[in-house]
Amino acid sequence: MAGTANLADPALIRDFRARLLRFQQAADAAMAGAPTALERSLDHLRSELTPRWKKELGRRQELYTEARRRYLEAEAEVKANGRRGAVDRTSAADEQRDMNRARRRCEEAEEKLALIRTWQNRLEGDGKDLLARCRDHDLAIQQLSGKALAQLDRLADRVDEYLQRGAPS
Amino acid sequence: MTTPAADEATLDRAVRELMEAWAATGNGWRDAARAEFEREHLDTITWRGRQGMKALAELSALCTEAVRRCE
Repeated sequence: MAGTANLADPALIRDFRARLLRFQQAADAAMAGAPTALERSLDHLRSELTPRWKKELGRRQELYTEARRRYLEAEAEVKANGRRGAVDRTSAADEQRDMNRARRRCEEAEEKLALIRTWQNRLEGDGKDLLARCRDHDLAIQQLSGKALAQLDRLADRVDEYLQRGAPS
Repeated sequence: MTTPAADEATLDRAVRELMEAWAATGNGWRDAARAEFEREHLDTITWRGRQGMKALAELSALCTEAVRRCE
């Protein structure tokens, strides 16, 4: 230690020690929530969004199957009418448009599921790296604060001793 | 249950309060021991606190973006 603390009241050091202790506890509490937050986000993707979008994909695939059936029927009707020379149906364009729209909605759901997998991987990779950084900083804060608290105790004790001996006039 | 953003704010406040409390000690404590304490202990602790805040902020942004993009 370079020299002895030069102050009239060691309570100043002890007050600051109390503040440092509060900081140590606040930092630990703040960092403690990080794993839960990451797990909550991962769980939301795994347990809520993935099943939701899988169900939605199934629903959209059924709609696509139905739209495709209607299109094929309409197309067959157009061909049959053409052979008979009838004019009540000349095109299956509406059904084809509906089928294409239904297919796009299936593709959107598949893309969403792929996006969920991508973000799940990011949370498991980048998220866990960030969590490790949080843990490192928390651990360092706890260790450094512990040493600093001990140092403040020593400084306050030295001031006490100094005052008990009687400060030189 | 807190969020990383709330935890980051808690840590930010804790660092600021610690620095304010330290600055206040300067009114009655000005010697080599104080300067050494600041250099050897406090600077590293507050640096770690700020790095911890950055990590919490990045984690918060990642979790928020993941949920927002996948909804």
